[in-house]
This record gives sequence, structure tokens and C-alpha cells, in this order.
Amino acid sequence: MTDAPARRSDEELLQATAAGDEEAFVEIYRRHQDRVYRFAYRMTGSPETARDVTHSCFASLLEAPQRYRARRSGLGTYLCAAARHQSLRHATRAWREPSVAASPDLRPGRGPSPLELVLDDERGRVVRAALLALAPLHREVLILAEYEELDMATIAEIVGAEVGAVKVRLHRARQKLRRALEGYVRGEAAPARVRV
Amino acid sequence: MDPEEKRHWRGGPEPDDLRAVLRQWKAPGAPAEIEEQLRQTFRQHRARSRRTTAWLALAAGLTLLVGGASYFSRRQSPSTPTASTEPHAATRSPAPAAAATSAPAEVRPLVRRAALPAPTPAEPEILVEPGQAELIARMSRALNRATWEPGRATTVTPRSESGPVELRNVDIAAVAVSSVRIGPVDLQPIEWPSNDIDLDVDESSIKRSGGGV
Repeated sequence: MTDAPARRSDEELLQATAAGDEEAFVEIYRRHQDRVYRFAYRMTGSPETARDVTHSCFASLLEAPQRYRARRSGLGTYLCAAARHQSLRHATRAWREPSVAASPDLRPGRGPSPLELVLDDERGRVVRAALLALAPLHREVLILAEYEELDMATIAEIVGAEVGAVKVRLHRARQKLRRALEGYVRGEAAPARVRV
Repeated sequence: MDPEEKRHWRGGPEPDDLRAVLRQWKAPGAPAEIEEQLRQTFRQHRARSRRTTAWLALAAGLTLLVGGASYFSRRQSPSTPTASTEPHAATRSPAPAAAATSAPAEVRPLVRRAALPAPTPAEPEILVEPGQAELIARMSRALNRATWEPGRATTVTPRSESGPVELRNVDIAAVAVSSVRIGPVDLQPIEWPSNDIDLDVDESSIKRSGGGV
């Protein structure tokens, strides 16, 4: 009986949620939590903001369930669009007002690193800084295409733009990211500095 | 533009080198505290919606109760005429006695209007010859003696909408011809033209006006 809600579709779970079924609502959250949280985290770079955005997105299903139209898009796409809408405000504010901590010196240490884990962490830090340095409109399409592996039509639906505009943004985002991570992409030790 | 860049422009997959670098940044999973917070939010929302539903049901029940009570009290009161809520078959025509008793209520506005002071119409001035005036005075005195004996109380209902006037010991002739003014009258005879109409028309005037046969 415990796996009964897992067989139900998102629409059925939403109906059960509207009828007061708490477990149905939690099942919806468990299905889509990772994508929403990851996207918000990569857009804002902050786990606290990503947590608030995720909570707010799922709470909106309770407060205003009429906003979601099942015929128009899937629930995952709707939640991703809601997360994008809320993350974009934080990302735009942080991008316009960069703090000292947001633009660290990304020069890696000279010489080989003895620990592979430390190296991975360092590369991750570099990639994070390069992504957060992108413009929010470029960053969101890159995250949705590269990390969430969504197709162009779905990305266009989430960001509310035409497919052609999404392709242009994605191309420019890749170009800037490639320049910023030039040393890493070509197998060099590290870029001199993240340039975006 | 090289073929690889064209592929990127069309939204194709990123080459493995850049993708591999991007995957170096691993995002953590959603913390478990979000689920607990959402459970609390769900319970609060459910309690709020149930409270709202209960209030709405209570308000609807009270409305039905008050409406039904007023409806039945209106139906049970016999003096108040029922409105169109009753079917036609259930209505009865009023009895003749009831219709007779209800008639004075309908003429009451007319009586009330008659009691209002009506403007007195201006009496027309009558000019008669001296002989005619004496004749009228004599006839009215004779009439007064025959039917309107002085000293007998009579009630005259005037045609106007003023109230009734009671006359006591009044010489009716003096009242009737009070406005008659006796004075010299010019008795010039009027000369009427004869039936032979003079049709002698000046032909020159017809010609000037453009007329003609």
C-alpha cells in the first residue's frame, strides 16, 4: 500500500492533494525535488536561497493550484519555470551587485596536486565561479541544457522565449564559458583567471 | 564558422570536453528539512481551508434557516396578501362583502382631494341693458319666492371642488345678480351689409399681381 501513490500520475496526485491527501503532496515533492533544488542552487549559487526557492515552488501548488495547467505542460516543467522565475530575481540581483567573494582569484596552484579529491573540488569551484559570472539569461539556458539535459522546446517553455532565442543564448553562453574555462577545456592545468 | 560551431548554434549537444568540465560542479541534493517544512505548510493550508469551508457551510445554513422562517411566517399570516409565490390554483377571488369593505379605501384619495381649498374662479362681468336687469331681478325674486323661500335652510352643492356652502336667510336674487353692473349702453343699431356683395374688382390690381384666368 505504501507504493500506491507512486503509480499515480502527477494530475492524480494533484487531485488527491486538493482533496487533503498529505502523502500525495509529499509524493509530488519527492518526484521533482532534485531538479528544482539543483536548478535553483546552480542559478543562485546559494544553498539557502535554493532551499527557500524550492519550498516556495511547492507551496505555490497549495496556494494557487489553478496556475498549473496540465494540458499546457508537465508538472516538472511548470515547477522548473516557477523555480526559474524566483531564482532569476536572486541571480539578477547578485549578478548586478557582485561581491568580493563572488569573484575569487581562480588561479590554481602551480605544480601537480597530490590529492584527486582536492583537485575535483578546485575544478568545481572554478566551474561554479564561471557559471555565476554568466548573465542570468545565459546561465539559465546553459544549466537547463547541460545539467538537466532538456530539449530546446522545453527550455523555451520554461524561460518563456522562442526556441530561436534560446539557441542564441545557449550558443553565446557556451562561447563565454569556453573562453572562461579555456585552460580546463583544452586539458591545460588551469585558466589564468575566469574571464566572462 | 566551423562545423562544430554550427552544431552548437543549432542547439546540439555540447562537446564532451566542455561538458566534462561542467560536470565537475556537483550540486547537492535537496535537504530533508524542506520536506518537513512542506508537510507543515500543507497542514496549515488544509486547516485554513477546512475552517473556511466550515464558515461557509455555517453561513449558508443560517441563510437558509432565516429565509425559510420568514417565508413560512409570511404564508401563515392571513391578513397580508400573498405574493406571486403561491400558485394560481391556490388563490381565491375575494368575497363580495370583502370587496365592498375594501371600496371606501379606494375612494379616500378623492375625498381628501375634495377637501382641499379650490381656487375660486373669477366671476365674469355681465353687461345688460337697464330693462333686462330689472327683468332678471324680478324673475329671480319670483323664483326665490317659489322655490327658494327665504328663511329655509338649504344646502347647495357647488360644481366646483370647494366644500359645501350653507346659505341661511339670504336673498338669492341679490346673490345671483350681485355682479350685474347696470350702466349706460350704447344702443347704436348695427348696419349689416346686404347680401348683394359688390364684386366690382379693379382689374388693374389683378394684372399687377399676376393673376388671371
